[in-house]
Amino acid sequence: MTLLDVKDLFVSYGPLVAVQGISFQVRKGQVVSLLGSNGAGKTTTLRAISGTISLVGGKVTGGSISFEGQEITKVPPHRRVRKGISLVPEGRKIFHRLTVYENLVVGGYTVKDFGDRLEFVYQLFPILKERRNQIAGSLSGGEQQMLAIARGLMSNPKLLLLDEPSLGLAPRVVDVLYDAISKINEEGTTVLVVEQHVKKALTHSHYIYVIQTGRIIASGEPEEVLSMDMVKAYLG
Amino acid sequence: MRYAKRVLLTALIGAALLLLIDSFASGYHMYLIELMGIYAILTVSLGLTNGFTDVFSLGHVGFMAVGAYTASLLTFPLEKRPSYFPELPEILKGAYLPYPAALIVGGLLAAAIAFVIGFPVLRLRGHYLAVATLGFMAVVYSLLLNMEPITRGALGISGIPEYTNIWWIYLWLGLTIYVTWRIVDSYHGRAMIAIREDSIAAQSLGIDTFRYRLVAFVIGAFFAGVAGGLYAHLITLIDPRAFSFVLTFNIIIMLIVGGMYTISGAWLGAVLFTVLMQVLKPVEESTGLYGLVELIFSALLVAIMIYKPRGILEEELPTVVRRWLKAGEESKRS
Amino acid sequence: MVSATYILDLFIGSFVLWSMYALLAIGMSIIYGILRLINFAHGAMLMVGAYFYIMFLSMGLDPITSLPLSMALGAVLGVTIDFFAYRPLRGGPELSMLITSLGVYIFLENLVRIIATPQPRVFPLPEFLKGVYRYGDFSVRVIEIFTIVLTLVLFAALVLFFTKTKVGIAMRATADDLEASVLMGIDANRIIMIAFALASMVAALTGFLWGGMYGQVDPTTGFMPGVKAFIAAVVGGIGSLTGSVLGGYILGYAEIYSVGLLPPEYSGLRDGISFLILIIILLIRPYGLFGREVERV
Ligand SMILES: Nc1ncnc2c1ncn2[C@@H]1O[C@H](COP(=O)(O)OP(=O)(O)OP(=O)(O)O)[C@@H](O)[C@H]1O
Ligand SMILES: [Mg+2]
Repeated sequence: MTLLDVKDLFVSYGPLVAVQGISFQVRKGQVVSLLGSNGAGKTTTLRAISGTISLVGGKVTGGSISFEGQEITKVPPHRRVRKGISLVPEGRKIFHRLTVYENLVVGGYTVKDFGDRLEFVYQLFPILKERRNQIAGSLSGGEQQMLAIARGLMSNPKLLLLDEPSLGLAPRVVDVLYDAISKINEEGTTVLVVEQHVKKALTHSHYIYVIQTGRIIASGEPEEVLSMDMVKAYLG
Repeated sequence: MRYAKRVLLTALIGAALLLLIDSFASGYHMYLIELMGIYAILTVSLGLTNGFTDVFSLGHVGFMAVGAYTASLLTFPLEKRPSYFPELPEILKGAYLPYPAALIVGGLLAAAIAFVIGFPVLRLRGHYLAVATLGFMAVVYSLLLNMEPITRGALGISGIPEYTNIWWIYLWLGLTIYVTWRIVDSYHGRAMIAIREDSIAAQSLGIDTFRYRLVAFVIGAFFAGVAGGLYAHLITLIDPRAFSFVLTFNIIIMLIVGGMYTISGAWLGAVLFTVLMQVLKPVEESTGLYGLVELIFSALLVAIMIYKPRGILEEELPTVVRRWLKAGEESKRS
Repeated sequence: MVSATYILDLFIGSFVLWSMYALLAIGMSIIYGILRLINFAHGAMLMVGAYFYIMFLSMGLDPITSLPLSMALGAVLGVTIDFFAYRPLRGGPELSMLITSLGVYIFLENLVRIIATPQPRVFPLPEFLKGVYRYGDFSVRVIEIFTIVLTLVLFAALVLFFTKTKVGIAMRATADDLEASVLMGIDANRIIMIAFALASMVAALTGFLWGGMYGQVDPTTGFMPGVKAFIAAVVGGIGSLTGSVLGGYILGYAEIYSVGLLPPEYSGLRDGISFLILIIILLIRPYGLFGREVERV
């Protein structure tokens, strides 16, 4: 069953067309990767799905985004969270001046079973429980990324969007994160992850899309995509 | 050469117009036209800082007050000083200057103060700068009230010789516009516009933003000071309340409604304000709804900020007129 | 002669001023934190709040009912102003909101001038706040004690609200990072509405205290307190609650002591002194004592 269906999507920042008619699907229960080099339009695509594109001066100018069969392009961003879409943004964007616990409170703004969610993310990242009263801005990069993911999970999303979760982190920390992502997926959450870290994406996803200057240039199962010569050349 | 011709032509037309007004306008209308000219000097000079660099100053009236008090003291009849200002400091007792020189000295003092406070204040950004310049205005106001030996405090100074006339005002307005125009239209001016549109880009172009802000701020203060001197010698009576927040607000409203990014917008704002004031004041008085004028002006300001944030004139008047003429010709031809 | 009672008088006086500046500054800080708007019109909300209270009294209601009603009406007005004046400017340059708030200030002042006439109104203090305690030379008014205590209680309540309730924490999160807070399912417009309601409510209450302290109000009453609170907030570091409280204290203290201890001929300089403090502090610490460099370009 298709959870997210992006069709012929165009997104612009003023005169710049950053996404030029891309289409892809995310099936329920899967982990799907969106690969591409810098400036390919990955972040822009995720912003269009989460709806925050309007907050950074961009606009969806064509195409459609459907979630659970429902067109959501016109739905304001905060309502998409209630529908079950949660984005862990590029650069983490944790609330620096709030404590770890308060970050999680805000993450769970829309849910009723706050206690259960908290229990779940503390189990996933025990370090956060230890650090719950620390000011988030003083966490290490890896801990901040864990917090960002944990915060994104607090709303109990059906679809978790991750924008370059491994960026700037040591390999050991990346392993921890991806183990957690697999665990989250096993618990039933669908994941769409944007990466430049090709190896991790290959071993952890069910399906892969490769995007270049705003267009999809290849797609398929991990092994399939990797065997394509053009992809090899592009991703290096 | 092209410049010189245009300037000369404009000056001639202006002079002819003034001659016409001078010989036909009645006392009251004359007064309005004079006041309008002073407002225009204030708005055009404020536009130099607030419009052409991204400095939003609320302290302009402070500079005006400095100029007004300075010029008034300098032209005040020497023989009347001992009885009128019994505690006047020794150096001021005999300091006399003819009116034109007094205006300039008032402007220079305002400019000097702008230079001194500009060093710290212009390093602040956005809001902070607005607050700090408002602070400057309030400090000036407070000093005027309290430096009684020189300013006579709340009583104010009356009996200032009535030297200002329409010629003086419009001569200075012409000068203000000319100087502002030369600055805006110069290499420096383009730099200032670059600063306004994108401070960071300007910095990466190697433009010393601080220096240009300071230049604009100081020149703006000079003309505000002169406007103060003109005003004092027109009204012949000044007190601290004349230089309060109300005037600050009015000048800002004129500038923003007219269009703070163009010179024409700045003086157009002053013209509109004066005209609208004359239309609305009688309504206020006949209905007894005191405050109506300000109410309407403030609503206008908010509406402009929402619907036309660059003001009425987004381009210079000559550009707009030329476009109209061209459009007219084309429609005739077709 | 500077006597001990005199010093004590000054002490109480500075605390009372602190209370009122801090209450206003807190409101300004809350709004600034979320919207990056220095709300110049905030002082007018104090004045309007005092008039609302008088209005409810003159409708025959008792003080105990009139005060909460005037605060509620203040909150409604604050939210309405945001809706019509500031909301259309969201996402635009910060300065346009500042300019607009100047306009809003003048609008409110003159609206009251038209409706309630420019003449000062007597501000009737409820009976239970009218008394004076005397200990020998020293005397203190009940309203002064009331003001100080109420401010402390309110400050404690606000701290609890911002650290212990979900909405309060969400407001801080929005102030920290608006985009991220939207990603958490927070409706930013709703948070902004709450901020305006809260700030305006506190301003209306300050109007009651101000009127009670000085016995009368007129349409221009809000101007100076508004400007002072604005300075207090900036001095303390706008956006920081603690900063606002501290800034309010510095200002109240400097003002009262400069008037009280300087020779009388300088007493007229008190407003100027506040601004001097402001300018000096901004030069030493451009983001205020507790402010952080969070400015967006
Ligand atoms: N807020 C913005 N305003 C204007 N242009 C933008 C904005 N954000 C991104 N762009 C432009 O849109 C294009 C796509 O950017 P995007 O951030 O989506 O790329 P990306 O694939 O996420 O790259 P990276 O791997 O570096 O994060 C780029 O050319 C970028 O410069
Ligand atoms: Mg990206």
